[in-house]
Amino acid sequence: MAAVIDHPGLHDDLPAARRLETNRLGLWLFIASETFLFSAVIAARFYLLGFETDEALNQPLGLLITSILLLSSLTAYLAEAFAATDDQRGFRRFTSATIVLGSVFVVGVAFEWAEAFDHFPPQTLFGTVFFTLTGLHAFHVVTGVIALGTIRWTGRDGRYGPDAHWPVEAVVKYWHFVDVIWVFVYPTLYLLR
Amino acid sequence: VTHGPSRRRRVRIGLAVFAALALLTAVEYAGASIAGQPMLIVAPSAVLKALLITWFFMHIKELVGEDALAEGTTDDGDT
Repeated sequence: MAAVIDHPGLHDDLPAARRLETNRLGLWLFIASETFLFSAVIAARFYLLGFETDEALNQPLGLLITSILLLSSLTAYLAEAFAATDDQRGFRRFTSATIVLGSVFVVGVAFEWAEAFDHFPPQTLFGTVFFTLTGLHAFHVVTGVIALGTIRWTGRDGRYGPDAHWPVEAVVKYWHFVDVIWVFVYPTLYLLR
Repeated sequence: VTHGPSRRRRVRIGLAVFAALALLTAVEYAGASIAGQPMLIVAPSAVLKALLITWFFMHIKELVGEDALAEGTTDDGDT
C-alpha cells in the first residue's frame, strides 16, 4: 500500500493493454460476486417453496418485460459496437434506446408489483420470494440505467472511440449481466411449477 | 483505426444472438404452458440463453486466455 502511495503515477506506467486486462478482471470478479448473491436468493426460492408458484402471476406481462430486457441487451451490444467502431451517432442512439428499454422494464415491474400486492403481498411466503427477487433485480436495472445515462452524458462529445471505450464496455457488460440474471429469475418465478 | 471485428459483422452477430434468444424464450414460454415437467424445457433453455449472452455479448472468452485487444485486430474494412 505504501508503495502505491509513494508512487502515485504507478498505474500510468502500466501498458494500456495491461491496464485494460486488469480492469476487465476486476469487473468479472464483481460480476462473480453478484452472481453468488442472486444464486443464494434463487436457491432460497426453491428451498422455501419448491416448485410452488402463484396462479395470479401476470404471465403476459412477465413475457413482455422479459422480451423488453432481451431487446435492451441487443441495443446495449450495438451501442458498444458503434463506440468501438467510432460511430458516435450510433453509440448515442443505441445507448439512449437501452436507457428507454430499461426504464420501460422497471415500469413493467412496477405494474407487476401493483398487482402482486393484491394477490400475494410480501407477508406471504411467495410474496416474500417474489418481491425479494424482483426488487433486487429491479434495483440492479435502475443502477444500470443510471450508469448508461452517465456514459451517454459523458460520451456526448465523442470521447469514446476505438482506442478508448472501456467505460462503455464496462457499463454494457454490467447491463448484459443484469439481463443474464433475469434469464434465470424469469423462469424461476413465472414458468416453473 | 478500429479494433476487432467490423461494425457490420458485430451487427450481424448481435441480431443473430437476439433472434436465438427470442426463439428460446418463446420455446420456454410455450413449453412451460403445455409440458407436464416444465423444468426439462426451461432449465436447458435458460442455460443456453445465458451462455449466448455471456459468450457473444459479454465476450467472456477474454477470460480464457485470448488476448483482449487482439480479438480480431484485423479490421474487415467496412466500418
